[in-house]
Amino acid sequence: MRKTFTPAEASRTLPLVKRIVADILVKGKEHRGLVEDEGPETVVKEDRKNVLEAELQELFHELEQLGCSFRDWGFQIGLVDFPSEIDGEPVLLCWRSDEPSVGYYHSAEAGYAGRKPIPTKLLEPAPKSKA
Amino acid sequence: MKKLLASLLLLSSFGCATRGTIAELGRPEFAPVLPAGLELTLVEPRVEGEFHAYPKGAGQGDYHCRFQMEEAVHKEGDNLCFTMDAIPTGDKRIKLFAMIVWPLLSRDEETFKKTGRPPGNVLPLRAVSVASPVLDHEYFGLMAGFPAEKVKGYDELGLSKLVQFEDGWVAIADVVIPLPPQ
Repeated sequence: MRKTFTPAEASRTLPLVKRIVADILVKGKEHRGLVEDEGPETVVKEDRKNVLEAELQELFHELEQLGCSFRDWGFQIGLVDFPSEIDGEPVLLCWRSDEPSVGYYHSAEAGYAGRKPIPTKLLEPAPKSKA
Repeated sequence: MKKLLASLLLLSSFGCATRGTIAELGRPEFAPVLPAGLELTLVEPRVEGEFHAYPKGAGQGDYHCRFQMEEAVHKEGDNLCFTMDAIPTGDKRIKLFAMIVWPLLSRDEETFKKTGRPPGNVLPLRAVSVASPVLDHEYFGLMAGFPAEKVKGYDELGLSKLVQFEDGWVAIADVVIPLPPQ
């Protein structure tokens, strides 16, 4: 059965997810540069592409092991979706790599363009600091 | 192969306005070819296999374009290649033509047309773009090539084709073409 996250559970994965996504963005941008390169196809270029593809698949797999998925195929903003439920409906909690916590969601059909803030009642209050 | 793209004249007849960059509007794979931070309004409701969005100030035009495969997918050495043209047929010229080539299984056609990418963590085979027309013409041409071994086990290609018109209007068509027998 597919794992689902509460907003707080998704935010708690962020220290690890951030590291994985940072690696994906670096390798993804290099891969994109190679598939955009109009120069001649060389063995060296092809080999590098193959290495990057294998490394990227490994990183995507690491995210999937955590229960979330990478969604930014331009490798610029680093989007990750976490399956969840809000008001009994299946949704995807949506985090982008410059956000401090998971604060948005959208339906599977709407995608990022349909992002809405997660209702406050579902967000865990921040831990109180000691006086 | 020909495809009629945009046929949209009056923006006021469309529904609610979703604004954002091309990535925020759900097509991050094209973010590298458009100016960073370019804010667009998504035309909704969307038609399957198409995406239209416009920047502030655009929208008063006849955004028509057809795509024509000038050279079908063929083998050149160890690579597969093809050439695609984008031909403006309305009163707006094109200033950018970009194309992303994905390996695809025929069973994933529907998902590709809905989302613009194959399901799963598939990486593109090729991403090409051009910002000037073919010499002495108004149409744009792109050649895409990739190693044939990269499509072993696949039976189709998914093509995401983006044109940006002179006033900034962006149109994307997601289409599927068969691969030659391997």
